[in-house]
Amino acid sequence: MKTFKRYLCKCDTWMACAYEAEKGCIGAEYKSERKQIFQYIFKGSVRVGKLFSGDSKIIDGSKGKLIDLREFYNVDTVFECLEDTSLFGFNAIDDDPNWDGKIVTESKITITGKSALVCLGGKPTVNGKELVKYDYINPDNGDYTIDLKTDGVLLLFTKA
Amino acid sequence: MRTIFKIGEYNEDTNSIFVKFCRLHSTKSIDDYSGKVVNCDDLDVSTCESFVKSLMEKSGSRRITKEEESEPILDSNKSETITGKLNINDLVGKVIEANVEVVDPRNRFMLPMRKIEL
Repeated sequence: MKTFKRYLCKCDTWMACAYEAEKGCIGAEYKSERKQIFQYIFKGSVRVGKLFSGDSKIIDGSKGKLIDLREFYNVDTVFECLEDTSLFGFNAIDDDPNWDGKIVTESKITITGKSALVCLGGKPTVNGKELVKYDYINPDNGDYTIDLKTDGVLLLFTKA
Repeated sequence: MRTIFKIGEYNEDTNSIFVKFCRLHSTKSIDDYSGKVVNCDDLDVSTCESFVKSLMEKSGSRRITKEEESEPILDSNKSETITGKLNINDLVGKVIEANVEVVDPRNRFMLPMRKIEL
């Protein structure tokens, strides 16, 4: 049987998760646990769909994209890994999936509401502070200076 | 955890058993534990395996947990919970509580996120 591991961590107002799964692994998630609204795939690809719907969506993050999965929030889902897969997920745990997510490309950002900055690779800096993979900041309102260096991956999630 | 149970009585009229549960490695005899009546109508009695499984699911596991939590804790075993940044040197000599659910049967583990304050 193909296996997968789930990793979870509550980060104050949101929850981080990560999956590591072998190609061919099939899983299901109850809607009560399906709180992921964005995924970033480090490697691999996954087919995900609403249980018994017949429709499915292939999530391929090979280009380092952040995938919007709000359509599956609070929905019974099934998934199949099409390759050996490793991914990060951002979960809304306040019963409100109205967050926006983006990969930071700017050198300056302004925070005006509940937000989270998550480093998923490289050694980017925020206001001069260096981050590494799985470091996060729940920033206060204000301006922040970003330096992605050569390979920094920094995600910004903002409550809409 | 390996567990045991002992049926003290079976009442065929009501199809119920009087049963005691405890951990296999308990330092107390199973006879010294209190028992409870379980109605077999609620159990899967098709085989020995299904009977044991359904009995433990219906009341055995909960009973053992309750018994265990009501037992006194030795002074030398009184523990503390640790959180946040790890310094193993600070832990030497301390008794630290570890929830067995850390080993999750559904393959869920802690993601090592680190909060950064600016």
